[in-house]
Amino acid sequence: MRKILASLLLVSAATATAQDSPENLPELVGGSVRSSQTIAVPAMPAAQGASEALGRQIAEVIASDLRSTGAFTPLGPNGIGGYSVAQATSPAYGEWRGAGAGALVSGYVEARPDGRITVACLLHDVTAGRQLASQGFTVAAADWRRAAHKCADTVYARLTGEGAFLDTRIVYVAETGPKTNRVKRIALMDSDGTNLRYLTAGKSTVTTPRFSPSGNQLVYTGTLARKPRVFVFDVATGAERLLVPGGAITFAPRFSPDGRQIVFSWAQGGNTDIFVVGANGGSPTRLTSAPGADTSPSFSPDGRRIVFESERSGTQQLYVMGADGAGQRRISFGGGRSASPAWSPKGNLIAFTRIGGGGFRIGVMDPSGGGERLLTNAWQDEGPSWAPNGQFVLFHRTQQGSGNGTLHAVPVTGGAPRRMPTPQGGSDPSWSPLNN
Amino acid sequence: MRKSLTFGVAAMALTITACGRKEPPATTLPPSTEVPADASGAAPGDVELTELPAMQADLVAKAGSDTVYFGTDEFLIDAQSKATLAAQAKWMLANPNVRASIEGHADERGTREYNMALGERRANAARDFLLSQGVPTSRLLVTSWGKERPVATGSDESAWAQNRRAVTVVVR
Amino acid sequence: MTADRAEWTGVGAALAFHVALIAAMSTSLASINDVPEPPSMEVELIDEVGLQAAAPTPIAQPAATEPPPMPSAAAQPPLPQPSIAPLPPQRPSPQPSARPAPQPQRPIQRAPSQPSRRAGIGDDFLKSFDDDLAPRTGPARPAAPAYNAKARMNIGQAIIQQARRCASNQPFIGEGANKIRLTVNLKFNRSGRLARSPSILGSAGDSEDRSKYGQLLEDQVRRIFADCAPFRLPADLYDTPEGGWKDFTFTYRVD
Repeated sequence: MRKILASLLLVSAATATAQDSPENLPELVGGSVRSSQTIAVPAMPAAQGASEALGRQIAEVIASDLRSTGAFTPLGPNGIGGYSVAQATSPAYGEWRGAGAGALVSGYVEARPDGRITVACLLHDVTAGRQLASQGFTVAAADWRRAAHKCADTVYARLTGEGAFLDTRIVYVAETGPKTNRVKRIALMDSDGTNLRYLTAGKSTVTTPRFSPSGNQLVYTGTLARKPRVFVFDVATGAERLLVPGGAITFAPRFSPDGRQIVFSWAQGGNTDIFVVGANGGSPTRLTSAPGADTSPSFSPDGRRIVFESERSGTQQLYVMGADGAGQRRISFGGGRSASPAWSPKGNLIAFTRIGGGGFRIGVMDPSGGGERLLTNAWQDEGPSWAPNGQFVLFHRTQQGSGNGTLHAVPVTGGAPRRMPTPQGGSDPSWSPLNN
Repeated sequence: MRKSLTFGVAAMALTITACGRKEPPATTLPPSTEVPADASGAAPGDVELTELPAMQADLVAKAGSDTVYFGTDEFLIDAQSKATLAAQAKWMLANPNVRASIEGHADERGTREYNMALGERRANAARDFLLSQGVPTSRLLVTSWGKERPVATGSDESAWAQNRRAVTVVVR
Repeated sequence: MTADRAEWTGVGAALAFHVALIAAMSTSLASINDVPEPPSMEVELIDEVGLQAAAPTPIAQPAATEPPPMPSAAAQPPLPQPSIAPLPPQRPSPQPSARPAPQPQRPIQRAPSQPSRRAGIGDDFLKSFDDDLAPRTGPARPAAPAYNAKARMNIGQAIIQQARRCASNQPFIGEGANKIRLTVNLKFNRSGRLARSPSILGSAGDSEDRSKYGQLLEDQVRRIFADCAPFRLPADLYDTPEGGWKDFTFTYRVD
């Protein structure tokens, strides 16, 4: 009798706890409407000496940035009303709901006595009627765009869970002139295409510029004594130096994630291999020695591995090795040829160029070579480079015949590539890390 | 080797201090016939080369061509190329005071960096043949332009065939 | 404008909340010396806004009023109708409840009140349940039905069903978000609106997915229960000795 009672008690106790375990609770399932989020971006009010025009310009940059991510449909600043500085922190949620916005970016611009400006940036969930984020950015007045990009990044990161990527720059090779006499210059711009300037004069061939992890330097392939040579270039001062002196044919350079080394290709005696050298100079260390071309090396974000392209098997394929050259192993088996790999800053994917079927396409695969997906489909798309949040891949597209190049960014989740605005043709684009 | 390295470093230091920005200026040094060579025949230096158009024209006139061609994705020197290169070699031996930069090119149907490597492979193959014809190593430089300098503009077989080449460029 | 005590309390509370928010969200950006690359930027958190006395900012609690009618063209600024962009499909505006007057409470034939887990509830109970969905004001009536397993299940289904309209409108978050499940507790007022923000009791799923998507799922829960409020549930099951919909726990996930 006691035993029965005890076991009954046990069962009812068990049932009591089981009653509230997640499996027994009612479940609500959220839909997954694949539409962009509608977000109101009204012109920011001006406080204390700032100009109204600036508040509107800031909102325009924020709205344009958010639209470029593909995840938002911004409302405004044109066509919607404004608000007062006090309302920045206590918006009329009901009115914004009525306007069809699920979210709202508010803020204000303030001019400081030292000539700088402060941009306040607040993000609100209009549906739930609450504030989600609040930050202020103080910049030199001439750098107001950076404050707008930072605000857009705050909004993007909070509403998508992804990392920031809008306050960044893009370096690329600007191209003008006929196909048989191209003038190539290294060009630098904000990731929205503004603040464009040229870093080299165009007197010699330049290709594949890439940023250092600090964003303060570039490494690129220039020309010296009629040979391709890797140069390290200081963005602020314009000073540059040869990476490997002595007439070596060097190209395809990339920084290591800690900025201390540069990995590159060296061609000699009809063979091209991968070497690594201290970013400040020194004597290069050989990493590969297989016959045929080994090139396009790219570090993993933890600095421990390098993905590269090799034709040692007979066709261009992707290989991964340790940062010391150990354990070289092929990873691409998806058919055709695979080239110009770039390891995502998130570490989870490798972007590459798939050659085959009469053209080049941009694809991604995971670092073991599985899960291949092609992201683009045109005559010649090549040279992938990652946004710092690992969500977008930059590349250039060459037009058949004219050979004119344009720059595009494609979301890694799939979707149409977006043309990056450049005033002239371009190739070899590379995305900077987040600006400091 | 050490002498050439110091020479190279000094030349580089000179050019970099002179300019400090972008391309080092074209500092020309007097041509030397006693340049010590390393295995690849490269000159010690990171010094700009001077093209010699009149000599180039003479090479073309005497040897028939300054250019040899290749199949798609190949670096094989075929019979036609051998004949051309043999004639070029004769010209080089007859004109001992110049050097040649053997410059490999690729057509647009390869990725940027792979084509850089392919160009060097083609140039190297041409140079190897010139060596076999008795041209001294010290007078031959090798380089690659990848797909950056096409001579034919089309996106068709004829244009591509013209672009897959190694050119012998006469330099001081 | 004279500020009375309530306003000062509100301002103080708002300021204190902002300070807490700032503490939780401090960021600083290193300053770089030279033009042009990259210019110096200072990040600060807003703690002084609208230095003229502002209305207190209610945080978290959605406004407990019906949304105002669409502003007409003649209305004051700041928000005329937007003239652009495909708006999300219009929700039907909430109608005031047009239900018949609540029925008198019927006596219910059932077993003596125990935390019973078995069936055996008569049809009368179900009928009175269906008739009785209007939220009631006034004191709780005597002899309220017990909050047993069946009642609990029905309440759960009713809440889920009413929330579904808003839940199905939530945007796609990302690959991997569908692997997380939140356990959420709600506290309702008798009016059918939340008495406080939803409380996340736990989350299941891989830790990387949770840290990336957990917040976004929580955002959705808060939107859903703000948007679909007020919830129409039987007043006599709001708060009984055995429990009631005053306190409701459920799980949330996305497709």
